[in-house]
Amino acid sequence: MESQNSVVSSKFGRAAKLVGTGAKIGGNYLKYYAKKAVTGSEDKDSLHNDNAHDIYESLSNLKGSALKVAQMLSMDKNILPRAYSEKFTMSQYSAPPMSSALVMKTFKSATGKYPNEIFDEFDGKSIAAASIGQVHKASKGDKQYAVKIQYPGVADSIKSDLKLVKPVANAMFGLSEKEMKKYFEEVEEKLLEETDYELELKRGTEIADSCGSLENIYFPKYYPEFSNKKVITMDYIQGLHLKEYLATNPSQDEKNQLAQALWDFYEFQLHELKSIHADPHPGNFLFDGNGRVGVIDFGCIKEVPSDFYLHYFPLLIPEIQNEYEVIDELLRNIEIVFDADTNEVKQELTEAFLKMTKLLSRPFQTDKFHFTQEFLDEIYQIGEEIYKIPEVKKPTQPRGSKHALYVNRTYFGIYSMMADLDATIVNGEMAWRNNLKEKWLNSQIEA
Amino acid sequence: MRTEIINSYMLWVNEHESEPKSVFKFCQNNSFSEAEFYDEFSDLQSVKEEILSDLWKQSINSLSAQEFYHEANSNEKLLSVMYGFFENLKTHRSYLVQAYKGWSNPTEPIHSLTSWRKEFIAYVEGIDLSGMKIGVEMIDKNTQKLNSNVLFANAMFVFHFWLNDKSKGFEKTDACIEKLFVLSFDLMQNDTLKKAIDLGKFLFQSK
Repeated sequence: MESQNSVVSSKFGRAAKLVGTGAKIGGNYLKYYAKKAVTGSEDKDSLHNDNAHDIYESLSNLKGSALKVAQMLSMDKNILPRAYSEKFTMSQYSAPPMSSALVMKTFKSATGKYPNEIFDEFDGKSIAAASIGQVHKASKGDKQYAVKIQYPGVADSIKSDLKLVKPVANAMFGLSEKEMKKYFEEVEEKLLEETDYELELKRGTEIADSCGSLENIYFPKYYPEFSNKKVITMDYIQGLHLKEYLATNPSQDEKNQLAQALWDFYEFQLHELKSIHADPHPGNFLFDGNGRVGVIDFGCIKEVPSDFYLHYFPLLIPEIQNEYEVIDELLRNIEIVFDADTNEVKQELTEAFLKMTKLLSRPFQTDKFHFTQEFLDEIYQIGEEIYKIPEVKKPTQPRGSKHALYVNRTYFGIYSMMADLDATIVNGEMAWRNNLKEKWLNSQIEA
Repeated sequence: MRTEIINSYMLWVNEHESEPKSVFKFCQNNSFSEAEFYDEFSDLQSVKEEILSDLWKQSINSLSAQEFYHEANSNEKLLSVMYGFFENLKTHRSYLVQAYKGWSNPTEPIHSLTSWRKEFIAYVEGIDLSGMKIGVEMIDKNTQKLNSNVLFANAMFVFHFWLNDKSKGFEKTDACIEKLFVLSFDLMQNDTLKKAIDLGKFLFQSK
């Protein structure tokens, strides 16, 4: 019965932790309003900083998938003020490592042999931590491998972790549980997929095969014979993370070449494969110093449903942005506006959304586009502006397709990498635009 | 003969869903004589005890063939043996679940664990756990005794956990070993509350 007691007390302990966080956030707002009343100035950044700190503190005690949610939110800088996202980015590095004994055991359960029976060398210490596993380096002959090993029991803890993050997330975004439900379901589904390394191996191999002809981008080869649901073995890829790479002062030409490679890669995935690498955080890209970039970790792939594709991407095309009726149909389909909305609400949301879309689609509108930090700032700014609209701040019903969640996250990730590279990309002919134009503008004429 | 007696004992427990009542009855139904039985075991209870301790010893033996095991520090060694042990237990799960059905309190030592306990403590004391040194001082005998008993209490707890574990491949047992032992190593080195929270969280999720 001893264990029962400890279970109950730990449950209360966790709940209390989150309640505590809620109270602290409340306290921070109080401080903010007090300060505003006294000084008359809006020290909003310090408010966000205080909140981000408290949320981060509470999330870092949760570990595991809560960490993953934090990462997820941290990528979506559009809905998160910058202070939040910076704190959350830190949370990517705080999972406790597995003992090497457990690593050996997990590997053996997966493959039937201990790592040292397969490889000439296997390092029991991990070279990198992922939020649901860790990566070890191995070698055989002159070949080097990266072996990713999953923490035991991760899949089981995800649902339970998400339940605990919910109240924090609701408090952060001012959304009710009902509104968050469809988004949480999407996140949960993706997180659970990420625990299936067999799926990751299959997808990684597929994407690498179909993107083989793209220039300056490369992928590790996967080894199914040394992989299973909990272990995934691939080529060890040399390279620096973006920050370290930039510290080597690469030339502008090289940065442009890299940005172009990434740009073409995502364009190809989205419009040809209709399926994208949706985890564009800096740890998943390795820069080799010769103008090439390696892409790893295919655990989070967003398959873009064709109906969503047909209604979301036309919004990026200028000619369509001016067709009010088409826009109306598109926005209704992707759940930004609803038939039940009043005309004022509809109009306000349509205008706000178009404004955002025009900004976000700017990189596609010219032959060349240079990504800068100012461009990102403009996006954040407009994001905060839109957030002030009452129907966005306190929606009467959830708005926005759940599919947009990972697609947007991916684009914010790419844009912010591009801005870090401070690079110029060149747009190709973008055949997808013609297809979508044909569909939407012609059907309009027929009608 | 020893193996044969042990296998027959486990088979009996599985088939009858209870333990044999007497050595006489047990031998009657099997191909060995009472004399042969008593050459190996003192009574039925000791068969039950030694099934566990044999499995424990086997896990140590099979690991000592592995290079990485010899290179590991003592904490990692103990962990490896724990993982190997529970991997071995898998093969005899039906018997073990049946044999330990009445054991409800994981913190209460039961008689049939005595032999395993002896082997466990002998092993732990033989590998000179780094967690048993406090600062630079070598710890005194009493502290060492306490520590090996704490570690055995952990092992016992995990065994009980495993008997009730319903997760695929018993991966929760793996997580339990990892969290519990790493925590104990840390606590023995006068560390840290953070991992206690981790464990509490895990236990909460496993219900």
